[in-house]
Amino acid sequence: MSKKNPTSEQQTEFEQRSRIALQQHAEELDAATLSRLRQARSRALERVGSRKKWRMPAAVSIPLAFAALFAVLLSVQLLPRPTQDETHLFAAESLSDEWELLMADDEIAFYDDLDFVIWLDSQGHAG
Amino acid sequence: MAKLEALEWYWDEAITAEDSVSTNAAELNRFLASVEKRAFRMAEIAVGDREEALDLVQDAMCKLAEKYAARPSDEWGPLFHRILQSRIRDWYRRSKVRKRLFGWLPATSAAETDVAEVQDQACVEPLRQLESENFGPALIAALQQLPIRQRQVFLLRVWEGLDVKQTAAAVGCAEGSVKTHHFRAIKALRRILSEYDSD
Repeated sequence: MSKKNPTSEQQTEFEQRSRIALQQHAEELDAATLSRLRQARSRALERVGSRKKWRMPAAVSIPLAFAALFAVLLSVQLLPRPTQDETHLFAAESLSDEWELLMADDEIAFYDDLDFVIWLDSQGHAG
Repeated sequence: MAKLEALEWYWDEAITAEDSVSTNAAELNRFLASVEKRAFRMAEIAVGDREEALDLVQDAMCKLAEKYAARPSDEWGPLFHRILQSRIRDWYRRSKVRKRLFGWLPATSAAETDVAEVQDQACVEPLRQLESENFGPALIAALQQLPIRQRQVFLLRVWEGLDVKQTAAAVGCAEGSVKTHHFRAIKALRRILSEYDSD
């Protein structure tokens, strides 16, 4: 009844042997590596407790949030809004400008060199 | 008077919090000192490079200290290994991407050696180690041949002594997979190191 499974016994023996070999491997670290590990540890320990976040108390944060919301709503209401005709006009103008720019391929280089063209123009007027 | 009492209470609380941080730091220092050598060797076996391994261990230590120092000390072991193993997996992913993007460039340093190269190199090692009849180095070389999950599970179960549940949490897989990986790892290692079997 108490007969042990030989495979599992061998496995345990192998694991034990491996553990000893690995531990030996870890103990064979050179002084430079050990020193680097100590430095890494002390760097890590400097971070203990450094992640404390400041939280605004609810008594302050909730009224502040309401005040901000109120300010946004008020500014939306007070801002002069364009009439429906104006809105269409602005949209149409900007769309046509974009199309014009897009369609005139040769004009893009001109826009890129606009500073130079302005300067050239001013030179022409001066001379 | 009430204000004075409130101030004293606040002061006491502040001192207690400070004491608790220093106690945690001292305890964490002992914990990290107890695991650092094994952690370094695990990382080194995984990535095959000393500098990379040191970086990985330092990252894991910093993250543990920064985020989990306040947790109960018995949770530090599994947490630390979870962080470290996750860093090692990230390293493998980055290596794969680097290889895909810059594979055509000649490798210039040991740090740029990719995973496949590390494993190819490792394939030659066991034979050499068998000849020298040295189980330790042969075991390290054999471990480097294992797939990453099998190696992680074997090291955490056998060396770190984590149980199946803790290992599953550290490696990020199911408990059933831990048992499978462990079994396969031992089978593969015993096959590679059959010369060293006492039977």
